[in-house]
Amino acid sequence: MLGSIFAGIADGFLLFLIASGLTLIFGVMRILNFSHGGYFMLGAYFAYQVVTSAGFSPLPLGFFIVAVLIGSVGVGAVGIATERLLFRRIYELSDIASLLGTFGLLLLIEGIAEVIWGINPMSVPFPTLVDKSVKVVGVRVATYSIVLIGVGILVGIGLWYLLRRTAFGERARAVAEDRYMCELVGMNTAAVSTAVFAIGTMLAGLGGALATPLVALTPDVATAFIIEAFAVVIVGGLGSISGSLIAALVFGVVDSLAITYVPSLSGVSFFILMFVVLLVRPQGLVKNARAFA
Amino acid sequence: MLARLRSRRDSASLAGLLGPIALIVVAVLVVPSLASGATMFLYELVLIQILMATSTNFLFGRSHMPSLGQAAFFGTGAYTVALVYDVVPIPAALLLAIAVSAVVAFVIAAVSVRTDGLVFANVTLALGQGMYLLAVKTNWVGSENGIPGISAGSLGANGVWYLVGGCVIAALVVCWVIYHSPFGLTLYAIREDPIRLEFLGVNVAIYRMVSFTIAGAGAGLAGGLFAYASGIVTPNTMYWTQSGYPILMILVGGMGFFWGPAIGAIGVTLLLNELSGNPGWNLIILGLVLIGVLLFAPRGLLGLWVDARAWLRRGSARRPLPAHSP
Amino acid sequence: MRTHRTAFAIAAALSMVVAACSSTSTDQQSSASSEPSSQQSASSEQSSASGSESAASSSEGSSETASGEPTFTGEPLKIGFLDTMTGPNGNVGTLNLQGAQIAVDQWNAKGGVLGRKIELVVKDEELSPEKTVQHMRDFNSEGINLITGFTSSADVLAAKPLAEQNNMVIVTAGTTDTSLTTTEHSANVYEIAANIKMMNVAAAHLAETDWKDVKVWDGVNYDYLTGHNSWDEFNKMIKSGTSGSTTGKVAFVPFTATQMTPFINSLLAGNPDPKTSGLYYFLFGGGAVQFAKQAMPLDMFKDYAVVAAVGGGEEFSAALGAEGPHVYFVHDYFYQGYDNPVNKQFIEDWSKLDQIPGLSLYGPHEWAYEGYTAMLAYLNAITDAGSTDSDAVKASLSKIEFDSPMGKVKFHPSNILEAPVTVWECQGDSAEKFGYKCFNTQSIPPSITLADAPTSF
Repeated sequence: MLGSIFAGIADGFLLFLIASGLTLIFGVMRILNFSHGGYFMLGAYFAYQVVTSAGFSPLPLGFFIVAVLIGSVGVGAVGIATERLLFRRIYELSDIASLLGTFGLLLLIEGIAEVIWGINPMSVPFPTLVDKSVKVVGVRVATYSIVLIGVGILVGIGLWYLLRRTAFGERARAVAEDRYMCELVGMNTAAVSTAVFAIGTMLAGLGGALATPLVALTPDVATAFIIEAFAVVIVGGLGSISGSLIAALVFGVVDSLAITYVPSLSGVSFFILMFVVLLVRPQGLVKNARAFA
Repeated sequence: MLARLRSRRDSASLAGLLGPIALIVVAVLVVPSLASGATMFLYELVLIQILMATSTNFLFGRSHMPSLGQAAFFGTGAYTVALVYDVVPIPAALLLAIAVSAVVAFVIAAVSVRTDGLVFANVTLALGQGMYLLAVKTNWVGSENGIPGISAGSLGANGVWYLVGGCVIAALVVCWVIYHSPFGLTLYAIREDPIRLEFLGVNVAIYRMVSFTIAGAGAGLAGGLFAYASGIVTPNTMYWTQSGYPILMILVGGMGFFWGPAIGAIGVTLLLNELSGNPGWNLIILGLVLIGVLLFAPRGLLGLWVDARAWLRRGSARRPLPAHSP
Repeated sequence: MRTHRTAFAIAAALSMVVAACSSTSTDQQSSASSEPSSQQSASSEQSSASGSESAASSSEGSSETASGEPTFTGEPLKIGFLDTMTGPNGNVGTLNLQGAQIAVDQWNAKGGVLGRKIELVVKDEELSPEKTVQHMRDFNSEGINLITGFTSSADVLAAKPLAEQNNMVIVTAGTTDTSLTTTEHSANVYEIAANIKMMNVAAAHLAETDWKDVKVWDGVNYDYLTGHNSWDEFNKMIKSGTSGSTTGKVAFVPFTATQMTPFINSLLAGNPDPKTSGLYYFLFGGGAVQFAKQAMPLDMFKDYAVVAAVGGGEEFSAALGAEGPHVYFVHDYFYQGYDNPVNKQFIEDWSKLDQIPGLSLYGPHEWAYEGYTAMLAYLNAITDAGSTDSDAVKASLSKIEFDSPMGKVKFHPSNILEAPVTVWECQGDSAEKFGYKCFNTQSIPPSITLADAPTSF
């Protein structure tokens, strides 16, 4: 059972990486970015491309870290480009329209990936030093799961620090609270939006790059995680980072336990969880979700 | 009632109904002599999608209920027919499809109508996917293989065509009447300003539920017709991307017009068919079309057409149409 | 409006540029021509078979001019090829087609069949039963009555009513569902690939012999009807066997699952013993690789004495590379196991083709064998029948014996090919060219695997 819980926590942190970007973007730009999964997928493919072009075998951990960083920064760059070119226009549309516009973007990104890399499942080996398992409290846990948990915690702390302790974070929270007022006061809200979008997509790209040794990489990956990420964001409370952290961990652990003890519920458990939470508390787990609590 | 209708703006005049219907009738009569086999199936799909998109537009153009779960009702209608085609005659099977879908839609509406906007979209998406998973896991509906070999009895290929054509035409007429009825216009008012309507004493929730049920019933009929046309029903009919295509059609055609979704349905179905052999590129083009329409033609093709006509008639001031865009 | 247009133009241009700079070669092999485009007559495509001088082919009665160039009479003879050419299982169809094309080229080099040039009309089933139905209607209206290909059992079940209504013949290359020989049997449908029951019988047979040290079999399957049925069947066979083995933990993995660790943990919770535990591994495609990738850090494979990957093949080992575990594959064909002229020629013709990107093979894959043998069945039957009429071809298919890469074969009364099930071993090895090596082939004959297949309908 402990093994399942650890696995669930690791899975939860991976979900958190995706969901945190999503909720960050929603908080500041009020757009539920359907294309977020596309950035996740791009992060994975970029990392894959870097690893395969270098051709190391086995894959040294240091190089893998480099590949992951390139992946997430690269996706951040794509994010900035798409924000400038596309999302600026979409803000002015209604919320349905922006949802659909981002869906169109998802199709576009997926299509481009399919044309470039094809549909065959691609594979990246585990990097050295983290490719085995360790015994934690008597249970075999994959070292890579511990890496995911570690990265997730670091990201969580980093985001908290960024939003609560830096000037930029203050500006971002202000724009999330009341964009109109910020513009009246003369703040460059467009720059804040772009920066937040870049961070959000970088997080998605980071998640994707880190997921590469775990999955058979195909363009489908863009949609595989996104529905769960959406559920996490909504259950956690739109715009709340701590909410999405809690929700992601809960989802991860519950799904993991469900698979072990009630296998027929696999894949369905998080739907059920989502309904229960929404019926009881439709605004999400964390109160006052607007101000990046 | 007809007199009241005639006194509204020209979009509500009988000409607005009879003209396009006449076109469709002519098309339905002509096609069997021009096409057969897979091409006829393609046109059947076009008709079915016209119905699907038009019923879905009750949720988008007439209420503010962005449902991403219409595929669930399409699938319900399809499976209903698939389960009873060999024991009941066709009209009964189709009526059953409509009834079952309406009931399921009503139940789902009762649960989801409390939420709004983005959360509503997500809830309907999740519910739709949940039904898909249910279909995949349930053995007596064939689980992932579905139910093949659905036959329309003694109707040949042409018979099925006329069946689809006739039902779609009838359903479109019914939709048109509802759309322009006081009920339909109240829905429109709710879309624009639900709070004000509440204060006016309108039970917004009930209106929304009925609207959702109507949309579900229409989707169910479309699904039932699909079962006869394609001869096989699989869980694919309930997959969430099947909810997305009608939305795309509504957008492309223009959600503020009754016939917008129909135009969009024709265009998108034919476009998708053209693209189906090109992996990757089909997604790129679809994505570009969607984004392009949202940014440059938010009122859809019909909206562009209306604007073009107004522009040509330069002299007359452009009639201030209420927000017809998403 | 102008800025909108500029932005749009830039976005469109960017996406075109990005797409044009495509095909970054992703592995050591030369980038190959990828999936053949549909609707194209396949004869012009791949570099192949000028190995026509060998005595290996089983064609009869074709004519050749003195200069060695075959001449054809009459209209080309079209055979429909409907398979999964795109999507995550696109490799299966692509390899099926490769095999079929080799057969077509071999026979065309000797004058075709009945003096006519053979052409394949390729359509993509897209793993969609609805599309399959549409394509079958297309074939029918184009006058093509002989169809082959098919990867997905769901698709062939969808096509079956149409084949029966319009009297078309289907010889499936890749489908493995046992129901086609039992409840879903049709006089119009024949199968080449070993079905799941045959593979289960072979695995259970080896469980009694080579693998008799294994006392407890765990299992992992996909969470769908076939996965459950297959496990139930294997279960029964093991428990009714003589070696005293039984079954242990089983995991059913949904197709859409990304996190396999909980499933892996549920298997490990049974404390498998590296000397007496075996794993029945019935996953395929991306999921098989993903499961393995997540299992390897936990050393799961090392906890089992035998891992029997039913229905799997070298694509699994190729994807996992040098770290890949030692597995036994139980499937229809492995190129190393058959020493006859037909197989030799098949291997030689195959090796002249380009590798599929991302799939590095040392010899023809079983999917290529399936496509090849399906065509051989048709071409021999057409020759025997003297026509392409459906009833005549069906009668011939049911009675002829012909040469295949696994020896002389014929169709069982249940319409499946009476051919061996092959079992071979592969494992990761960094010293090998593609990071893995395969060895030790065994052939389980149909007398065992089809022992209680139904013979009358």
